[in-house]
Amino acid sequence: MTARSVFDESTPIYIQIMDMIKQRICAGQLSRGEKLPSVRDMAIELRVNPNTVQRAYQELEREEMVFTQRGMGTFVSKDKDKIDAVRKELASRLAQQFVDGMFSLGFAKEQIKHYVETYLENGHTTGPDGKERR
Amino acid sequence: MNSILELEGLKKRYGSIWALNGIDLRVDEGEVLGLLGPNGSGKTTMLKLIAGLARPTDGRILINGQKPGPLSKAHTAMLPDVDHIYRWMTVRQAIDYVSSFYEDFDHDKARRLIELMNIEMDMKVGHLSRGMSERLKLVLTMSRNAELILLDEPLGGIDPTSRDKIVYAIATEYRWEHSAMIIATHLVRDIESLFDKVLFLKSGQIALYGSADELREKYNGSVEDIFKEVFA
Amino acid sequence: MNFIKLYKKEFIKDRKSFTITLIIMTTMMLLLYSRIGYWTPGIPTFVLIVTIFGFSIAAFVSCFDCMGDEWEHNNHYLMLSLPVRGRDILGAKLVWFITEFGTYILLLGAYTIVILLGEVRGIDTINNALYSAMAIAAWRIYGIMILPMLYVLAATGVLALSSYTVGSTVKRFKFWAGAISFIGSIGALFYLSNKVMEISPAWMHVEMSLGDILAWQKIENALNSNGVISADLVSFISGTVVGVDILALLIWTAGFVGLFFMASWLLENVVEV
Repeated sequence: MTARSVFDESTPIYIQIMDMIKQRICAGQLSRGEKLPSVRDMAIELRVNPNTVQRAYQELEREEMVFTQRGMGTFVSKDKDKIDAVRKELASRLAQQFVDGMFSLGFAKEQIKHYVETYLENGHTTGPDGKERR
Repeated sequence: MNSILELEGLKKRYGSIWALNGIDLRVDEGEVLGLLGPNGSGKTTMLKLIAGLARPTDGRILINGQKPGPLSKAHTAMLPDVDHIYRWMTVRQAIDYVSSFYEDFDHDKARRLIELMNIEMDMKVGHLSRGMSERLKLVLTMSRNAELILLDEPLGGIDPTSRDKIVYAIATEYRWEHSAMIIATHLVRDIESLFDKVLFLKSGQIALYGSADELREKYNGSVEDIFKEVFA
Repeated sequence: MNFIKLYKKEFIKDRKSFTITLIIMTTMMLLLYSRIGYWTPGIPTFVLIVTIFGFSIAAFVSCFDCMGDEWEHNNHYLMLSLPVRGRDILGAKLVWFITEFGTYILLLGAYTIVILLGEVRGIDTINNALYSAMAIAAWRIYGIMILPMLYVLAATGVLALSSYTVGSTVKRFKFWAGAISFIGSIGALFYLSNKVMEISPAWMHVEMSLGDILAWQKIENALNSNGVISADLVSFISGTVVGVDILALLIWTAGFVGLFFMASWLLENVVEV
């Protein structure tokens, strides 16, 4: 049991929570229409302030990733297109982070491409379900 | 949104020293406020004034619209930075005694917390180790469904393993919808994720105040980083 | 009721020492009783009388202590954060103080009389009639002294509690502030009651002759059947009067009540941690 939250305290926590939820949605861990944990439960799990979780949920609703039903809770959006769009957005961000990181290590474009290809061919590409990821 | 606490122009003088020199603050229902500052910045003084343990030299304190007194004390729970329980009592007697004065004392919560904190019920309070004594104080404070909860250095002088338990207990037992909580500490890192707002107190005055996340964005760092900067 | 919870706390805190003291007291009495006739006559009684004095002084010291306890180890943080009125805090301490020392002194007083009468029994020149007359007189004095003793205890308690509270309102020179309060209160009340007694009408004086208190008639009869009584003794007994002025008593009582509520107010509004 650790006291520290799982988040980096140097950047706004509510944004990190939003990213975490988006990640889970796009990765399929939270299906469309599925109910999100209550604000309180999520706050305890993440070791953060419930108001911070509340804010994350509110911002996600504004971005139309989730919707709230009075008295019932907050649910993942059923809008497939919306989720796909966010998925693409997360992908670009990941790519950007990767490329930026590689550049800062001094690698050139061709070398970066090479790294990606090599990994895809030889690396551990088995998913958590044991199946080969294509 | 109900404001649970209002401070207006609060000042407190001890002899020729102004421990607090004009504090204006509003804490709403559901808020967790981090009261941050080095030792001697006025944090304890401020909490004592709110708890009714000291009297203001000037200014106003309103807790749910009431001045500090026997009525506000029934709705305020304070964890002081000193060991204040009678040493001759056993833990069990201490809990019985304190709980008897408060209608909002939740005995189920107390049981949960006692188990979580691993507290020896039949040990005399005077024989408790530092860590256990701090945990007992926390049980007494957090077992109450108080509207205003004041924690003065809940992690002070505690070993890291005990700190975990304490922050976890605070996080789980905090009644978000109905209470407001003020946590005064100079050990920021372990607990900053719980803060809604933070108030930096320097020499009795407000040096910085705002939402934790907004400050993170603005200063591009953790609250602890900002703390170091403000009090460098 | 908050008063009862606070009283219970005072009781639990002291119950061990209370019980032990009572046991020691009783053991001592039994021991002394068994020594009647073996020890020099008068010694057992003397021991008990000295003990009563000792306890009276202890009472005086102890009631300052019972407030002082709260200021040890930061206990006053707890006391002042409870949602209770100042009068409940002080009232609980006062009543426990009276309970504790009232019990000690009442018990010691009774033991003393038992021992005294036990020793008197052994004197040859005292016949049964005289003995029972003396016993009656002794217990009558005891009975009459109960209320005054409790009143004095209560008064001492209030003085101690209020002085200590006054002392605790200042950061420095606490002892002197308390001492001034103590002496000042007594002085002011003395002055007031004396002034009042000057103008107090005669019907306010309540008196009892010593003879009535002691049921002297019985003693006189028993002595007469035995021999001659000293004329001086008779005139002394019938001439002496014990009394109290009601008005003065009211002044003192009002004073103590006032001190109590002043101290309660200070606790609620001035005393800081």
